[in-house]
Amino acid sequence: MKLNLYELYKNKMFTRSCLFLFILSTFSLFGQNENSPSSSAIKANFTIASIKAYQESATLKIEDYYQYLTLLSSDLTSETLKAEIKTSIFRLFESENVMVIDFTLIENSPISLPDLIEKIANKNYIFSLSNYESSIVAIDYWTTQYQLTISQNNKRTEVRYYQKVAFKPVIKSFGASKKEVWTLFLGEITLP
Amino acid sequence: MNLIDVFYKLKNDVLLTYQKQYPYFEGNWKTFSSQDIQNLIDLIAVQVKQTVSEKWIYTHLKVETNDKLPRKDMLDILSQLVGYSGWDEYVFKWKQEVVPNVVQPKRNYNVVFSLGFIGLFLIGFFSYRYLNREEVQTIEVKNAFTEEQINSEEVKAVMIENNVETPIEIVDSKIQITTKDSAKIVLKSPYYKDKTIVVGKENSNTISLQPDDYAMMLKGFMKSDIKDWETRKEQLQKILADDLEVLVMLKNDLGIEYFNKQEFSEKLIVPSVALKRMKVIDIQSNDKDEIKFIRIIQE
Repeated sequence: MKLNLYELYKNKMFTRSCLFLFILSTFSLFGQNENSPSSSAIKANFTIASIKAYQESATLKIEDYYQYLTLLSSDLTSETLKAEIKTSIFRLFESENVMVIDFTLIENSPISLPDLIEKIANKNYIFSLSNYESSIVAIDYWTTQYQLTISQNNKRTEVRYYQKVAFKPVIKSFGASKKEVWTLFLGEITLP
Repeated sequence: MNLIDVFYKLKNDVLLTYQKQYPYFEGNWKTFSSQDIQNLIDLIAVQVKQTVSEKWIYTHLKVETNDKLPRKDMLDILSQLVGYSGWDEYVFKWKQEVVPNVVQPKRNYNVVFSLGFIGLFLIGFFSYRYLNREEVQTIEVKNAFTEEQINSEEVKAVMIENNVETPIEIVDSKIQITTKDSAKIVLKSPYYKDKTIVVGKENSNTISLQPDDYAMMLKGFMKSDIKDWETRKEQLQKILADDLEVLVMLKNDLGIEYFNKQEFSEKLIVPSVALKRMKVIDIQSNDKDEIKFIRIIQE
């Protein structure tokens, strides 16, 4: 009987300990949630001049994206190379299934990136970009707008797009070692 | 009062000229930032139509003490920037400014003293130049395998004398040095193996640099078009270490982007716009000669 009472006491202590740890962890999680946006906020970590330098670098990624699309839509590009280019395109974006603009339609309606890639195959589009402008910085992204000239069979169309660019710390692998590094990713494309 | 003192005066005048253009700058050479250096290079380019390297400014202007006088052509550029025809006029005008203060107490003898002073100055100046004349040696830098000239932008040369490092400019694949025993010249490049030579009059007039095969392959890949992408992909797998770290320094060193082996290889397999704006400044290899580190400037 003594033993049972002792075990009951032990169980009570265990339950109290669990309850205390639960409350403690809940508070600490709340604390992290409150702290993480500021620690990963662009403005909290970089000067205005630095942010501008990264915004300029992001425009090169946007140019890379459209250069890859030009190669993908060429009917001279082999299927094996197309597979390689697709990998390079997806590497530029934060998410493969990001929504972009279907410039093949007059309505310029939204379309997922993989669908657009399939749709423009062998259509021989050529793209050129100009007039970049980057907007005010949000917590972990900014918006870059640019003028896109799309040429196909001597037909030219000019459109203005908004491109979200994410800039955040990510864990990157360098062989066996890992490092947290600030990385630029392209995001959703929308109309003004 | 020697020419080094005149050079300090010129340095001060350069700062004043810079402040006229950039009034918000209130510092001195010690606080002269990399952005200020860039602004000064642009100012010289616009006003004097000459180019001065960032390295030269660091070596000769930013330092607090100057052991020796920089090259005459560079002194001419700075003198022109501050409103003179060249270094000779600057030295002359400055000395003229000093003379009246010295002879003020005896005004009747102004002319005599001035002429005497100038005469003494000229004797001193020419004696100084005669005594300090140094034999200039020109050494050509070549690729050891092809015997061709190297690209001056790809190799950095430094002279080490009494533990003091002085950068040497490479122009048209040639370096010019004043021959002094015991001084060493170290040549460094991302594409060639480091080379150190000891300066002496018996040295030949050529330095041959041994290319680093993998670094040279990488240089070729960075200039390639889409052709032969499959071969390139295979070779990249071989020459790049699995733990490769690529640092891309953004404009004016305002940021860094990191790429691992996979990401950097993809940029080389399908050459992109960003790749054409990259200039490699440092490559390091591991024990297996694989490239393990690349530092790049994004232009």
